[in-house]
Amino acid sequence: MTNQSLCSWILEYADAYLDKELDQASQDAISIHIENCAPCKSHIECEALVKESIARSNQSDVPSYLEQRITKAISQTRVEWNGGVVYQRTIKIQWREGD
Amino acid sequence: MLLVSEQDLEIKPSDIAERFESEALPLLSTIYSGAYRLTGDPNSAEDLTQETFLKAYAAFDQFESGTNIKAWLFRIMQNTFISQYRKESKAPHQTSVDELEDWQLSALESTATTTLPSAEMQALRSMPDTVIVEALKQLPEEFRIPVYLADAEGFSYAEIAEILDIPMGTVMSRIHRARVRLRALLADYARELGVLKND
Repeated sequence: MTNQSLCSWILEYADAYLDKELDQASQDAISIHIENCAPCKSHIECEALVKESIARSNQSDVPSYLEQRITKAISQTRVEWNGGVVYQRTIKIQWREGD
Repeated sequence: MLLVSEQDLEIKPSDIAERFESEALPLLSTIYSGAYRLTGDPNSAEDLTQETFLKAYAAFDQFESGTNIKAWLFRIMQNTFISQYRKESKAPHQTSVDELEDWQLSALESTATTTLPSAEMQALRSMPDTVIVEALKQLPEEFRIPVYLADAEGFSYAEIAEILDIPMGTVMSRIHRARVRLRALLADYARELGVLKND
């Protein structure tokens, strides 16, 4: 069962669907549609494989000396956070007996 | 009786430094991977990582504890990259990527859909990482970075919009275009490698 306008809409929003960025009604509509539409289903499956392969390829090992280099640079940095003192407004809740 | 009062707590600079160490520094390898993606070379990636952490440290009193530190660091890195490293790059910079390429996109989309899906899926599954990295490098930066932030770093479109300072609709369309292009590039590689036959 194919529906030309729905299929072309899915072609455009396949990525947002895979990234779960559409509203729930649209996510559900696409999920239902692809169960009954082979071309859309394989389109989405291919896009999912592309997405997975990008995630998989993200492996660049950080050199072991870099952390030391950065912490050293930080320790040599003079930072003036609000002139040295920072205030954080907090709310204090106390329970007092009586009254 | 419940007493509610407000008070200012003094936070010592040493507390901020300690918090930086426990909240920001553990993301070093994540930031380095991102820097490597942006610069495309290990030395520049190290420098960009260091600069990002130094800037983050200097501004850490403005970071709201409990909010998304990874997105905050990526935003600092992105801004540093734009203001510094991109200037040095001699590569021509494309500006109106979004408007230019609709006809190319539809051509790619039709290529992607005419290939036998099962063969394409098989090819995608067996694609070596080096090929994927190579294909990613061929994408213009405007496409490569959003798709990388979404797929490799798991950021939402809203976070990517925030990091890159572009509207969410632009994030969505760039990610769509990036994956379509990437799919076409990977299909080309697969044909070259003989994994996918030209039909």
